[in-house]
Amino acid sequence: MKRLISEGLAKARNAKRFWVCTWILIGLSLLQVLLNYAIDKHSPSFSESKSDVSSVIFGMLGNQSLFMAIVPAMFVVRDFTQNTVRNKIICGHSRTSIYFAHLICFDAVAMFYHIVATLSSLIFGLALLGGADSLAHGYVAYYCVHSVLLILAYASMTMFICVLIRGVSGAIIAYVINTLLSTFGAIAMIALRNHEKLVDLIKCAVLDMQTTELLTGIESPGEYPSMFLRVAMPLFALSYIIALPIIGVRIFNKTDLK
Amino acid sequence: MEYVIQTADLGKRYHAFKALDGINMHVPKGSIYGFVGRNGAGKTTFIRIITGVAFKSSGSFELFGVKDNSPELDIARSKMGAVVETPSIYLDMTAEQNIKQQCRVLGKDFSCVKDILELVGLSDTGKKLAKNFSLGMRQRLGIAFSLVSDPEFLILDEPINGLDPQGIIEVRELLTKLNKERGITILISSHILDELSKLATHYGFIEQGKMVKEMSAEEIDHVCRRINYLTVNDTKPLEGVLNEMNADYKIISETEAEIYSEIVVTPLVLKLHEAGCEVKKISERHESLESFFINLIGGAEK
Repeated sequence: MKRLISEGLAKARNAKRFWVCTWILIGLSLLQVLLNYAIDKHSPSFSESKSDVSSVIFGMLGNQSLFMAIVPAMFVVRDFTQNTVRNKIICGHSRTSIYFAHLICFDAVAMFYHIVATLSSLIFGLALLGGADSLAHGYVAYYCVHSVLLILAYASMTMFICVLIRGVSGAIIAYVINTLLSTFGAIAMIALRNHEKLVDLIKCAVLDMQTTELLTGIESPGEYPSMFLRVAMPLFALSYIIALPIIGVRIFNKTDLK
Repeated sequence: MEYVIQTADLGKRYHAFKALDGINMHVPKGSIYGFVGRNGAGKTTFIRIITGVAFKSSGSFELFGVKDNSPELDIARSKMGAVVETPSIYLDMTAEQNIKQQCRVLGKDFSCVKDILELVGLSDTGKKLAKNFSLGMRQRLGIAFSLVSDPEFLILDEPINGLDPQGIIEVRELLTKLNKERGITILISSHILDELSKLATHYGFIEQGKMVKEMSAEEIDHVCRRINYLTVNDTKPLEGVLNEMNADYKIISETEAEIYSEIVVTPLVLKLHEAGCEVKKISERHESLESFFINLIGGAEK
């Protein structure tokens, strides 16, 4: 598996697309900070409170699933569309190794993008918005851990769908499915609005809703989300991280390839 | 005899359709095994099962003596290289980058890259990306991929498709060299029987998912018949004479016939003369591998 991981990471770092997306992420982080800065300076009444670095540090989290679909998902999908996954099976690598090597490379790229986005937002945020002392609060550490779990959960889900569908549509569906789940989740929440615990469970089960909770929580640290959600959301994310690869490997081990 | 592959009633079913139906194949070690069959006969399905790309529905196989349900099958497969259908290459990389990727997958250093590219005739492609290669160049890159692991056994699914005559000769010489100098066992599936007949030491004929026959090249030479082709003034008296001689023959037209039995020409001509049949021409032909295959498949269909 070490060799497969080395091959996957080499493919990623030699790909133009990988570096283009890295620079786009840095640029978007800067734009996000500049937008907050402009609002604070020129339209202070536009937002409820002045922005600081903690407002923007996880601001790119909502875009991560798009960048995952463009870069690591496409690497996985192309391994199937170009049939280069066949070379790995033919020369004796097990399908389990291939799946987990892909997943580890996927996670590595996703985490790299998350770190780049977070660091960019941190650096630009500190420079333009200030508020370094807001980072000292314990909730920032919690959100750091939660955001990592979310990234890895997104990666597991995207990887699972790419291996299931094994075509370009896999990467597209992986991106779209989170939006679909959010939509159905919202409808379910409306229908179940009188059952608080069920509503909370839906918020935990849908990753995009977890992202929204996390970003909203940053605006009101310490009060939001509820203690139940603060425990349940990471646990749900962890369950995706563990369960989806296990199911994905079982499916991949029984699938005829082209 | 030692076999690299042995299969026992290997079967593959896609819902109600039997792609493979009880295949029994034996590929001797050190041989060049020609796997012959029409389009859709099941050659690629068989190859995909042996290489692990697809799964069998029934039966079993052994690869280097390792059973297909053994946990050591992956280790056995590491001694194998294969090109299945179209070459599996990274289209957005150069030839050198492609081979380096395969080296990474196998945990090998890059020292073999130059030699392998030279062996397949792709050493001067420079920065040209694989997506801009001709079909022949892609085929050769696919073969290069299969050689990176320094295999003991090569499976090549129609390796000369898309190659020009020069390319075909080069691949043939390469495969002969690999077999003779490195002792690599080779399984080739091909439609181009003429080319296969210059290479193969053993043959397997497959039709509608069933192995019709396995033969060595010597057996084929023996069985590929000599045909005596006669042109006469009237085949009616010829028929009478040939029936008397218990000959195996076929009347083509009113004036032409083919005789498949071994005959002595002088007595035949004398008897025909007595019967009032004038012999205008006699010529001898060998049955080609192609016509042997067509007749074999025709028999299998019945």
